[in-house]
Amino acid sequence: MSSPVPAVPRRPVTLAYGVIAALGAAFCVGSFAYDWSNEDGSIGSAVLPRVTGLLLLLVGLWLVRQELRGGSVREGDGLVVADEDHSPDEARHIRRKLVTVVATMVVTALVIPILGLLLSLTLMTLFLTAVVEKQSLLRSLLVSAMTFGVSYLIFVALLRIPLPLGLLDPAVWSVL
Amino acid sequence: MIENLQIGFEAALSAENVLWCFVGVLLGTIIGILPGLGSATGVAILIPVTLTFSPLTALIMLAGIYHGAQFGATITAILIATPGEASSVISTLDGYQMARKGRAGPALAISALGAFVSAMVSLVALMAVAPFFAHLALDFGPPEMLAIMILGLCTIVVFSGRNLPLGLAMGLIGVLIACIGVDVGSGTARYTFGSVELFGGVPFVEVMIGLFAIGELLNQLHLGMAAPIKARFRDLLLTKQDLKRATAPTARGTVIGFLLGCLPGAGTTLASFMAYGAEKTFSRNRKKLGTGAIEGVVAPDAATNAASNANFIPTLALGVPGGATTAVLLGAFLVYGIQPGPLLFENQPELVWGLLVSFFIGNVLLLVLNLPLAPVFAQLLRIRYAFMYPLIIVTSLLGAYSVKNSMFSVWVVIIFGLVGYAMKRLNFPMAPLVLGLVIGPLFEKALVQTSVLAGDDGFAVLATPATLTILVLAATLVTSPLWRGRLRRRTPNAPEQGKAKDHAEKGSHE
Repeated sequence: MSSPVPAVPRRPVTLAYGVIAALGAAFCVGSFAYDWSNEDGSIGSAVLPRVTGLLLLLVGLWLVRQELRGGSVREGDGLVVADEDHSPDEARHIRRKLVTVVATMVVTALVIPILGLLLSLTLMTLFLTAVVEKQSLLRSLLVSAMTFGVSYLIFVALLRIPLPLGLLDPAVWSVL
Repeated sequence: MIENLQIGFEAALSAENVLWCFVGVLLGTIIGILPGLGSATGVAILIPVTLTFSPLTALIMLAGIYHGAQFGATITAILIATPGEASSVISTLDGYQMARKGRAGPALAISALGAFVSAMVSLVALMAVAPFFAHLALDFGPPEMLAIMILGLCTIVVFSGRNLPLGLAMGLIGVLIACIGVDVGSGTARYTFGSVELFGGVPFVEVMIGLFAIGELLNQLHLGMAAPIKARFRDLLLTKQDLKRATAPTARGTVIGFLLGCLPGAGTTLASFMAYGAEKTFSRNRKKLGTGAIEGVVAPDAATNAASNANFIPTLALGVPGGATTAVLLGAFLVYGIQPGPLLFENQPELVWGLLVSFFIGNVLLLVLNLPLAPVFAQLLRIRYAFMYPLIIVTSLLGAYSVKNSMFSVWVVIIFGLVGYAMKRLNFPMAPLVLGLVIGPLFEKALVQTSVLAGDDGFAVLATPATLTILVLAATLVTSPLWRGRLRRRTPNAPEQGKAKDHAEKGSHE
């Protein structure tokens, strides 16, 4: 099951804290492009990001220091327990699946302007259930068809939201 | 008030109005379930459908959507950690944990029950003291709102777990993300890098869908996919112990929600966060919060419902919208030729009281609809995750697109999904980030307005009794871990001493 992580600096956590500090610095430096006060004497658009950015930079550096001083193993503190009790093969399989799912979402978003929103999401469902999850084709088709039907019913028929149709839009064909 | 109620019941209790109220709460529940759409968008989309109705019937249906969406949003927050509305984000903390432990039924049922009780109490309060609270809200100027926002930001302490600097960092990141877009004070575009989409800021709802829905989904895939939850029927029902534990949080949530809901712009989301914060501070079971405690479900939901009802006080009595949905409803009032404001209660009593009574009817319908259905909804968790997660992605992306009909929203969901996954893996607290994101713009607005008001006096304008009281509350909240620790050290046997004292008192009475 889960086992506690030894109290040593943990690279991912230190890196994440470093990113937090860098984010604060970026916002703080970026705020110098804006005015500190407005003409009427009120607070300008630079105040909140500069102060907040500076605070985040300081807190981020504090967290890095805390981590480097021995890795604070505390609740709500990042990687408290190592929960993976997977074998190396399982871990590799899970990593591959995660990458595939994220890539599928990105590809789906990219093809929406071409195939339209509903069709792209239906194909995504089919791919995820049939190929990634290796469910039977009949089941996968059924789930995909139901997803399309229910989504169409709610978003198009009931709420009348103009979902993009991509190249299937009749307006595109009428121009051609 | 009794006479007014009579007028209201006569107007609202026609078969036609009850039917449209039912349609409204049903549609609202569906809209609430869909992540992203939310009550404001739902009401806006369906206003054209009601144009042929009488004004009262139309407003009853739209208000039904508003109330239905509040509950619908909680259903998916509890079952699959996908909040349908911003205000239901907090329900994911304990509600989802309850669902993972096979107690989705009680979580949904107590949510419906708590929401119903708070709705009833807040409606009575609304009817009794609407004009008084409306004028009190008018006295709440920018300094008081600034103090409220500071108090809201201070609740980050409560959500930070044991690593306060990390919680603070998450809250600050939320505020910084909220800084992106056109500044409320001067109209300057900040950190937009020339992108028109970013002028309106990083969309909050899409961020929330990404962080919670997609982030949790990727986390479940990492853990090797959640197994279907097959709970026994008796575990799907509320127990006496559940009801007992829910009583005080419901009361606290209702009071917090009602008071915050009276203030224009404070919103239901802030109310739900502050109610959870109050539970973390005052609840007997505060240590169990975050692990699937019923208090963490019922208090925010009670606060959300009380706030959504109290939102109607400034809307009806002053013509100032209390929140986003009441702003859309205010537009609907104008479409039907009704002018909200101080004279509305006198000039159109049938409409106002009919609408208020319809809230009672709507909430009863919601309870009748949702309480028996809670165990049925909970059965959704029996679906294998291999089929469930593609559906979560579909509803998340569709819902996100529907908010603004923009592909930008879809990309925001995917990007923040990855951020949410990283946060889950690193065990970073998400609630402070969401809190910073919600309060950031409101805080800056109040800060700018207060600075204009202050002029050369600096921030002397903050020295009003109301502002000082709120700031003292905020200071108490921030320092609570310190003084609570000291108190505990001084009185190591406090509970035993308390019991002994009670016993002695009982003995003396006998």
